[in-house]
Amino acid sequence: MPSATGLFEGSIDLLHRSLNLRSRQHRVISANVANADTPGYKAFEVAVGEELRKLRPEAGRVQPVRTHTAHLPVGGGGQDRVTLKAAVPAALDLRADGNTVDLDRSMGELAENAIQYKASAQFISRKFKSLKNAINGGNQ
Amino acid sequence: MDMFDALHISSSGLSAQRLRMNLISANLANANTTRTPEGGPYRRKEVVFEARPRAGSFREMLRARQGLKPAEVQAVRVFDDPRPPVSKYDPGHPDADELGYVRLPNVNMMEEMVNMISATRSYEANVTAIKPAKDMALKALEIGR
Repeated sequence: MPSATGLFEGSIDLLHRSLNLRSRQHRVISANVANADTPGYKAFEVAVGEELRKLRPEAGRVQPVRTHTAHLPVGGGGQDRVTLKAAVPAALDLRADGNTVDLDRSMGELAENAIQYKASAQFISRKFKSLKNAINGGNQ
Repeated sequence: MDMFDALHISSSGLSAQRLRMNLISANLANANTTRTPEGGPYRRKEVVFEARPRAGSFREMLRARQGLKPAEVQAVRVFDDPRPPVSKYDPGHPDADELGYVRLPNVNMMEEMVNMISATRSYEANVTAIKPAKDMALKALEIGR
């Protein structure tokens, strides 16, 4: 039985998640850059690829829901839970303050992330445009 | 993803050259240092760079082993320049030996200056390489418009 939400479950949903993850990644990189001189700060990042590869909970399947804060999390977990992982530190680190932020690499990641975000945004907007076109009967 | 390899490789270059610059600064700052924690005069420091293929998955590692994957640069080791310290006659110096000679660091100002320019230019070259890589990715997005 196709539902109304079925329209948005394919690539739109994936792009939506991608946009979400990219904006989170941007925040994380910004945090790393902001803490470039904080002693002992460990750089971290969003594992965007791994998060995207995680399967969405199937629509027809029963999903366990936590009704009490003391319950252990079961099932795949919500979409809003994003795994952050520590960035791989440089092989040779001359810094004595324990900080693992690499400014130059962070800037490269920032550029990549911005382009990926832009790509996802563009794809999702095209997707909506074609849906709109279909709604209007194609005479746009 | 191959599209962003160029970006990451150039970033690794930036990082490596910044480290090299830090060492050159240390060498210049300690050009007259006669006392170090390990004893004796300061010894000129230099870094060893190593090409390391960017490989996360098995497939990428396989391609890297076949030489099909461009490599990042990575600093692996800092070593002391083995050249002997320079002896200078200065009997009034507290660190002079019984003959009146002070052992000064094996830092050569001209050499450091040349290395500094080289590091700066390499850094700039990497920055220059990043821009077209970014532009290309953005241009690719324009195709679908």
